[in-house]
Amino acid sequence: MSPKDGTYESRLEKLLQKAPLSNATLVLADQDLSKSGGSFAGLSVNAVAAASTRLSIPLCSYSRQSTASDYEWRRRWEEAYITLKFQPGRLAELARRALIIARGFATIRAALEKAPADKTPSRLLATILGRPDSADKLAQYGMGDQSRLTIVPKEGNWDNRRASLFLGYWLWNSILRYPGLLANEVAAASHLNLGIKVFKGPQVQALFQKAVYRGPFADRQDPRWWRTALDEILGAADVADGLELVRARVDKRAKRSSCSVEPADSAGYYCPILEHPVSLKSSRGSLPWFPRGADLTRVCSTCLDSYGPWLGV
Amino acid sequence: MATIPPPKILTAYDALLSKFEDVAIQSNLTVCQGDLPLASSFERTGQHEFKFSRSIHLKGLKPKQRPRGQTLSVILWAQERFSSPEKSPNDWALVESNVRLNFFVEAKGQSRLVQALHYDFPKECPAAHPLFHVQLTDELLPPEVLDTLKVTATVKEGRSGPPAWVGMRIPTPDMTLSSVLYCAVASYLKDEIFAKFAEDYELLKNRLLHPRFDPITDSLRDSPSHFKSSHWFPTK
Repeated sequence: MSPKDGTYESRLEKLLQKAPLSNATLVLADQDLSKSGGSFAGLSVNAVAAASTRLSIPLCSYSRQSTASDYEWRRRWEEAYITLKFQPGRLAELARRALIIARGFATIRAALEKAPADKTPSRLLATILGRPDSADKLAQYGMGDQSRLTIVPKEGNWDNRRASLFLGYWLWNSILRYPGLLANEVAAASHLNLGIKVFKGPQVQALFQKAVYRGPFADRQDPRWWRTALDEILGAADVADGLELVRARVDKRAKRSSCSVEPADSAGYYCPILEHPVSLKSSRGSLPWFPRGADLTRVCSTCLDSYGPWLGV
Repeated sequence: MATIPPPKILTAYDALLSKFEDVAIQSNLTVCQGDLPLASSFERTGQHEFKFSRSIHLKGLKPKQRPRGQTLSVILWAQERFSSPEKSPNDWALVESNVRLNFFVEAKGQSRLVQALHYDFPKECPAAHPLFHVQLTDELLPPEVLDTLKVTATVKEGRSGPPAWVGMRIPTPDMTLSSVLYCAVASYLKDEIFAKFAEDYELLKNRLLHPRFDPITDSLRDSPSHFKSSHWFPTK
C-alpha cells in the first residue's frame, strides 16, 4: 500500500480490516514510529491511535524508556490509548502486560453484552467491576473530562466495541492510575500507615486479601486494592489504622509509613510523580489535572517546587 | 479504636459534595473545597461518635437583583456530628448539625460580607431553642475557615452593630448540610439542572445520615391535623 492510497490513518484502517489482522483484539505499537520505513515512513503513534479508534480496536503503545522518567506522569490521562514502559531486554514482561490489557478489554466487552444499556458510563463500569456502590466515586473520575466524554456513546445507543474501548481506557489511564477508588501497592501501604516492606509481607498481605482488586486489567505483579474495602477491614477490627492491626496480629514491631519529604511524619497519601508515600502536610491535592475522585493522590512539596508550572499551580 | 469514619458514611458525604460540585460546574460556577481530602474532615470524638467539618466556597453567582459586574459568592461551613447506639453500632444518625453561611459581594477583587446566617440543630437543645432553627447574623466565618479557602474578606465599614433581629431563632425544617445544598441548587441554578440534581439525590438520599428529632415526631403525632407553635421546641 503506497502513500497514494490515502493518509496513514486510512491505510492503516484498511490493513486492519484485512486478514490476518481483521479480528485483532489489540494493536501493540512502539511509541516512536519515526523510524518506520517504506510507505509508512514518518508514521506516528497518533495516526495508529486514530485508525484503531475508528475501528474500536484498543491500542497499547510502549515507550523505550530505560528509567521511570518524567515522561510517565506528564502523560495526559485522557489519551485514548494505553502506554507501557518497555525496558530493553524485557520483551516477555511487555508481552505479559500486553496480554493482560487485551484480556481486560475482552472482559469489559463481554460484560457489556450482558449489561443493561440505559446506564451512565460510571454506573455501567461499576456494574462491570462488580461494585455497583462505587458508581458515584467512578463518576468523580469523569468530572471535567470533556475530551473523553466526546467519545461516550449516547445513552441507549451503546456500541459495545466502542463502549468497551472508552471504559477500558478510562479504567486503565485514570481509575487504576490515580489512587482514590483503588490504590496501588505504595498508595495502599501509605493509606494503611504501613511501611512498604511491612505491607509486602505475606502475613500482612493475607490480612488485606479481601480488598484486592480482581477486575479487568488486574495484575498479580502490580496489584490494586479497593480503598473502601481496606477501610472496612480496619473498621471491622476497630483499629485506628493498618499499623495497629498489623502490630496486634502479625508483628508488634512493624514499621509505620514514612513521608518521603519529612520522614519523621507518617504518610497517608501518594505522590504520582515520584511514586512515593507522602503526608498530608507535605503535599498538595485537588490539582486541576487530577481526576476529582483521586483523593489519595497528592503531589509532594518537593515536586511542587520543581514542577509548579507544569502542574498548573 | 478506628479513627476513620465508616466507609459507607464517607462515601455518602463524598457523593453528595461531588454531585453538588458537578451541577455547579455545569452552571459555570466555581466550587472550592480547599486542598484537604474529604477523609481529613472527619474526626472521631467518642466510642460511637464522629465529627465532620468542611467548608465549601461557591463562586460566580449572578443574582438578578445585583448591579451588573457584581457577582456573589457563598461560603458554607458545615459542622456535623453523628453517632450510633452502643447496642446497635451500625445504626448511625445525625445528632448535631451547624451550617454557617456567609454571602459576599465580589467586586474589584474584594469579597465584602453582605449577609450571614447559620442553621442549627444542636445536640443538647435548650428548652428555649427550636430543635432546627436559623439565625441571621453579621458574623464573618472564623479566620481558619477563610484561610483554608484562601479568602480575604471584609465587612462593610461603619456598621452600627448587629440588627435587632439577630437574636431570634426561627424554626426551620431539617436544614442540615444535605438540605442546605439541595436548597442552594434549587435557589441558584437553572430548573433543568435542579431537576437532574433532584433525580440523582433520590438515589442518594437513603445513604445520607438522617437527623434524629424524636421530640418533633412525638409532638406532631399528638396533633397530626394541624401545626402548633410549640411543635418545633424540644419540650412543650
